[in-house]
Amino acid sequence: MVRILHIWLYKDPAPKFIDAETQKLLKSITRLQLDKIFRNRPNPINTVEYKFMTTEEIENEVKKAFTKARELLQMPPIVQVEQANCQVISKDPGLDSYSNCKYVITDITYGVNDSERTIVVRQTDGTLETADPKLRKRINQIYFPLQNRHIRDPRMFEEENLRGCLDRHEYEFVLDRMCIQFEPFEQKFHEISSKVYLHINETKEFDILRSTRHFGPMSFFLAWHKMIDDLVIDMIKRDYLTNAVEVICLMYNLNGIEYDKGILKQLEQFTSSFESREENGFAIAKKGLEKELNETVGKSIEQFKIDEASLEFIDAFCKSHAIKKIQLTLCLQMYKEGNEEKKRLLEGLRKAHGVS
Amino acid sequence: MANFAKLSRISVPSRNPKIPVSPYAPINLPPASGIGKYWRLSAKAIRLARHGCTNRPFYHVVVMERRKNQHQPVIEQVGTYDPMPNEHDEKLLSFNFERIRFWIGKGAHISQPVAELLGISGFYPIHPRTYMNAWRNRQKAAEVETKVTE
Amino acid sequence: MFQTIIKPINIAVQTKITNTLACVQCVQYHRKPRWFPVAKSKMFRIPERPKKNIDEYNELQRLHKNYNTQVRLVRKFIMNDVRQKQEISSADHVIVTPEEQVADMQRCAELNNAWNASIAENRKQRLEKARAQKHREILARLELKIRQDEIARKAAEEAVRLEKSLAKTFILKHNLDEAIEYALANPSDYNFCINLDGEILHGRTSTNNEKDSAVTAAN
Repeated sequence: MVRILHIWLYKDPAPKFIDAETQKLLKSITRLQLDKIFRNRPNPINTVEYKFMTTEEIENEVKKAFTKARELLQMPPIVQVEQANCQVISKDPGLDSYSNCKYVITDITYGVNDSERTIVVRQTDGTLETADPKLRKRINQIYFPLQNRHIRDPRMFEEENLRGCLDRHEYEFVLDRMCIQFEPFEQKFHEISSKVYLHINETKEFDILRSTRHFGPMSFFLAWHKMIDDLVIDMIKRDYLTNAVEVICLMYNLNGIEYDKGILKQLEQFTSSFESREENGFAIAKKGLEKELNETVGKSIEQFKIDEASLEFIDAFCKSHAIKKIQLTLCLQMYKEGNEEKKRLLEGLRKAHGVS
Repeated sequence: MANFAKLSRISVPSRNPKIPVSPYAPINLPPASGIGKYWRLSAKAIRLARHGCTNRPFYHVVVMERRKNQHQPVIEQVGTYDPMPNEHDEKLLSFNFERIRFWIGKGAHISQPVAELLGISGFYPIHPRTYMNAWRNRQKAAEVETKVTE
Repeated sequence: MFQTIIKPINIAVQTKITNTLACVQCVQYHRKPRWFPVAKSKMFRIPERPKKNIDEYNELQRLHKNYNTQVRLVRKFIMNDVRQKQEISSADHVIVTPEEQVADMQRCAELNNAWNASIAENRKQRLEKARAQKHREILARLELKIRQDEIARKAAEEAVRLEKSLAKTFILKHNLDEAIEYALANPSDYNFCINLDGEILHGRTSTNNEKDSAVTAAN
C-alpha cells in the first residue's frame, strides 16, 4: 500500500492518463452498456416514460442515448498529489501575538474560480501567508458550498467503515461519493481509490464497475502497478478478449515495454465497424440468414478471426510478463476449447444451410 | 378584504420557487444586497453591522450611509466577519475586495474596526491599534512569565 | 456591564410570601437612568485619572501619523485606479465617435423614412377604401330616396283619385235644392229597439214592421 502511494507521489501519472491513446484504450475497456448506465438508481427522479414512436424516432433516441451515455462515462482524472505550497506574503515582528488566534481572509469577489480564489492566513506571529490546500478546500466549501460535499469528511471514509462498505461490494457508491468529497489531486482521493481498486482486485468483482466511469481509472491503476492478471482472466472468462488485449497494451504503454502495435489496429478496425453497426442498425436492421446463424452461435466468422489474433497476443503476454502464469494458461486453455466447439458448430450450420 | 390582499402582497417577499431557501435564512431582516436607499452625494461608510444573536456575535461588512442605523437596509454587503474562533482556532474573515475598491474609489469612509480588519488582511496599512494590542499582549505575556519564574 | 439593582420587597408583602416562597428577590437588569442623582456614597469620590504612558502615547502618535499618510496615499491610488478603469471600461455606457454618431443618425433616419413610407402606403390604402365605402353608402342613400319619393308620389295620386271619386256625391250649390227635396221626401229614422224575441224593430214612431223596413230600405 505504502509503496503504491509513493509511486503516485513521485511520478506524475497525469500526462500518461490524459494521453489520447490511453484514453481511447480506457474508454474501450469500460464497455458502454446502455442498460447499466441508465439503470434505476436509488434517487427520487426515476421515472420511465413509454411512448409510441416510428422507427426513425427510435433510432434518433438511441443515438441521443449513446451521446448521453458517453458523457456519463467521463472518467475522473488521475493526477499527482498536490504539494502544499504556502508563500509568505509579509512578515511583521511588530504584530507578534496581536491576537490569540489566526485570521483566515477570503476574497469573495464574484466570478472567481474556486482554485483561483485568494485565501490568505494571518498567523498569530503576524506573518501573512497563502493558505494550504486543505484549508482552502474547507474555506471554499464554507463560502461557496458544493452540493453534497461536506466540510468534515464523511465517516464512511474512515478505515473501519470503509472496510465494511468494501466487504459489502459497494464499490461504485464509495467511488462516486469520493469523487464528490475529494479533489483528484488530494492525498485522500488516492488513498481511498487505491484501497477500493485493490479490494476489487482481491475479490475479482470487476463486473460491478464495468460500464461505469470508474472502470477506466481502475484499469489504469492496475496497469500502472502491473497487477492486471486477474483483470485479464476475468475478461477472458466473460469473452471480452479484445478488452483483455487492450488492457495488456495499456500496461505495456504505461510501463514502457515494447510490443507489436499491429494488433491494436486490427482490433480497432473490427471494433469500430462493430460499434457503428450497433449504434445505427439497432434491432430493426434487416435480418439475413447469416445474422441468424451468427446469433445462434453468438459469434461471427470475423470475430473468430479476431479471437485467434488476440489469443496469440495474450499467449505472448502470459509467457513474458504475466505474474499468475499458471492460472492464466489454464483459463486460456478452457477458453480455447470452448471457442473451438463454437467454431465447429458455426461451420456445421453454415455447411448445412449451404452458406460459403 | 382588498386592503388585506394589498398588505399581504407587500409583506410576503417574492421568492423564486426553484431556488431552495435555507431554513436558517433570516426572515425579518432586509436582504444583504442592494435595497438600501442613498443619496448620490451623501457620506457612505464601510463598516460592520452586527448580526448573530445574544452571546454570539457575527458581523456583516456593509456599505451604507454613515448616518443610518446598522440594522437599516444596506447599500451593499461586501464581506463577513466571524469574531468567534472556530474549532480550528481561526477567525473567518471575508471581503469582496473588488467592491471595496469600488466604494473606496467613490470616496466611502472606513470605520475603525473595518480598517483594522483590512490591515490584518493586508489590503490596507496595518492599523496602529493592532500594533498597540500586539505590544500590550506581549507585555502581559512577559509579566506572566516573570511571575511564573519567580 | 449591567448594574444589578436589588429592591427589597415591602414588608407587608414579604411576610405574606415568606410562608410559601422563601428568599424571593426582585431583580431588575438595567442601568441607572440618566436623571437619577449621584449616589450619596459616591458624591465626594474623585475618580482616578487613567495614567498615560508617555512613551506609548508618543509611539502611537508616530504610528498614527504614518498610518494616516499611508492610508491617504492608498486611497488616492485606489480612487485614481477606479476612475481610470471607469473611463476605460464601457460596462455601463457606450463610447461613440462623431463619425459613428453621424452614421447612427443616418441609419436611424433611414429606418424612420422607411417606416414613414410604409405607414403612408398603409394610410393611402386605408383612406381609399374608406372613400369607396362612403361613395357606396351615398349611392345607396340616393337610391333609397328615389324609391321613397316614388312611393310617396303614388300614395298622393291614390289619395287624389279617391277624392275625385267621392267628389261625385258632394252636395254643391247647384244640386242643393235637389238634395233638400230628396231629404225631405225621404226622412230616415235610425231609431230601433229589440223585443224579447230578439227582433229588431226600426223606427221610433211606427210599429209597422213592413213599413219600417221599407223606410230603412229607402234610406
